[in-house]
Amino acid sequence: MRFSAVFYHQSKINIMKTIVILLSALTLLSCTTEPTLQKYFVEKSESADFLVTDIPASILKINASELTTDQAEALNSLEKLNILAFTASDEKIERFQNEKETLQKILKNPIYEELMRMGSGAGGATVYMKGTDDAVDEFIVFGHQKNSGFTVVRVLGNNMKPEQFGDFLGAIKNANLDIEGLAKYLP
Amino acid sequence: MVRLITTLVITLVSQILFSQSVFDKFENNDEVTTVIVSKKMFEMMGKVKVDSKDPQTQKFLNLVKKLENLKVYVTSNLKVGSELKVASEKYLKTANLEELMRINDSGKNVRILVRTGAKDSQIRELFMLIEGSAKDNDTVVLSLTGDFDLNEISALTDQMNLPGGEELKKASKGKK
Repeated sequence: MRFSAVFYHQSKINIMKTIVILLSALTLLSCTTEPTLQKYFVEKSESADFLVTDIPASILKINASELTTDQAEALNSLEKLNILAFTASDEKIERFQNEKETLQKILKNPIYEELMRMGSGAGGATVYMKGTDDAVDEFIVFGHQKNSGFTVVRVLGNNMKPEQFGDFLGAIKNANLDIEGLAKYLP
Repeated sequence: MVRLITTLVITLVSQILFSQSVFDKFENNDEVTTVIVSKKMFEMMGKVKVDSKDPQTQKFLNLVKKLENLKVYVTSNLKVGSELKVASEKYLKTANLEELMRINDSGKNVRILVRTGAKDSQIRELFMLIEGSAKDNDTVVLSLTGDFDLNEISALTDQMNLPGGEELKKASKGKK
């Protein structure tokens, strides 16, 4: 009687162990094989069909002395824009579909949380975020137009705070866009 | 143990199945314009610091924190419009909503339904169907979920340019 109880207990522990091992193996596996947006960008930056570019936040010429502390902080949390674009011509339609589906699959990953989506089958845009409520690492805008192309804009930053959004808008309201500087980043 | 795992699997699978709403198929339709706002977005919007003393904005931000999901489907195509209507009726059969009001205004048929919570004015879901007719009217389906008060809706229609905003305003006044 006693023996069987011990045995039962043992087998329960064994099952638990197996499950834990299996689960951790699964998580590890998914970590290494899951494609991320970052990887996709790096991969495509070598392809002539894609336009991939980084635009630093410094492109906004802002006189720091005119900013409030809150505004300066909000502005500092923004690092750069990372842009990827693909234009579909007639012979690239199939490729366009494939790439679009790959991207949509990547963005299905739960680390990217969908904020809003609008549009129709003919074209539209989706906004995602990555990070936590109080510290956003990244906003992602994915826009596509049927048979003509898609664009992904990653707004990268460091602990961007939603409550600072108002300050941020206030800061860039008086900004001068450095057009000549901008041209450097576009082909 | 086995039972636990089976339960887990069943709940996970059923969740995946049920989260597929009857309207999902319209999202890839060329004729339908969709707007979807997630709970996360509402949470973030509620956090935005506004030093505005404007009571309208304050009201709006208060309401936004209580919202979960907004889904709007709009089409001007009559055929797709009637498909939307069929899907709505299918949804209404299962969703346990009560009719709040029905307006027939020069051929435009508007139905507003709600799923209430513990209190009568506490709304868990607001559903609106505007039927388009041959005259240039769009068919609109709107679903808003959350935990809010019907009287607060006017704050939303004032700040956001929602289709059927006028009708919604009437509904929220009618209940007062």
